[in-house]
Amino acid sequence: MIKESKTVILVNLWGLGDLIATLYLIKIKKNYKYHIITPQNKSVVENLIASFEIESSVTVTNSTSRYKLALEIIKFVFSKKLIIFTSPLSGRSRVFASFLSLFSKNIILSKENGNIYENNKYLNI
Amino acid sequence: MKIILCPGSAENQKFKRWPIIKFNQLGKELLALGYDISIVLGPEEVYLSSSFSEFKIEQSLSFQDLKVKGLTSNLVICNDSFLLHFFSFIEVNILALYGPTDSSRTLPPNASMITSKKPSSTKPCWGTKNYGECSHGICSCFEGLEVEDVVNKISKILDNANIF
Repeated sequence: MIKESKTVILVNLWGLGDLIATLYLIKIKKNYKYHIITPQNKSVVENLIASFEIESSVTVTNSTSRYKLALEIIKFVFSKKLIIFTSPLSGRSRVFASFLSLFSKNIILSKENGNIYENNKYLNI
Repeated sequence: MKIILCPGSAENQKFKRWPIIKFNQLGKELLALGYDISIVLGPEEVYLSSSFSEFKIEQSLSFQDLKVKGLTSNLVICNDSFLLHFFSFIEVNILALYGPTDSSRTLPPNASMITSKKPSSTKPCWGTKNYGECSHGICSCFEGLEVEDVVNKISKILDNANIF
């Protein structure tokens, strides 16, 4: 029996260019399903993923409201899924991620400093 | 050889753009050297087309068309913008022009970069209160990064690419 790959939640609350550093993580760690939470336009992100021909299954949730995004993330905290706050992760998004990580062992925070691609490459899923 | 110039960046981050006049001069110098030059502009950057009337311009391409365009070029030159990350993801040869932002933080793994060698205690200004606050939307972090510097860097990149 083939074991179904687990779904990893990737959170990036920055811009579309920064989100590509998150997609880089998906590109090099192919053995999972991913769900991305982003403030960017959902169809734009889906078109971007399609153009990159990423092999993994990737779904997307978006909202331009930071409160709706926070609720969406909290929902996944209760589902006990692995949640990764990918790089870049600084400012208010880091404060929020650090706060949430106090309540769950299933939350991983990327490093704040250093290269965003390197930070995401060395995240331990 | 085909070279793509991407002179834009997000509208709310215009200060990340190397001056348009220098991009124009760069294009003219590369044309004179025999390169096939095209300008790629995003949907928010269409108004920049008037600054590049002597060049082939591709505006508001779909991601799929951008990908084809990138993969059929020898080099892309851009600011620290979405297109830097996009083209590097599909492993296109790319040169990024860095001003106010920190290349050690955002430079993709397979990209080359150039920044001004002019000494400055405030460069890069990313992460400080001065970030994006320069007058006229042109960041002083770009001062000293000249067309000649970029042309020389392009020659080195293309020479190295030819070795393989």
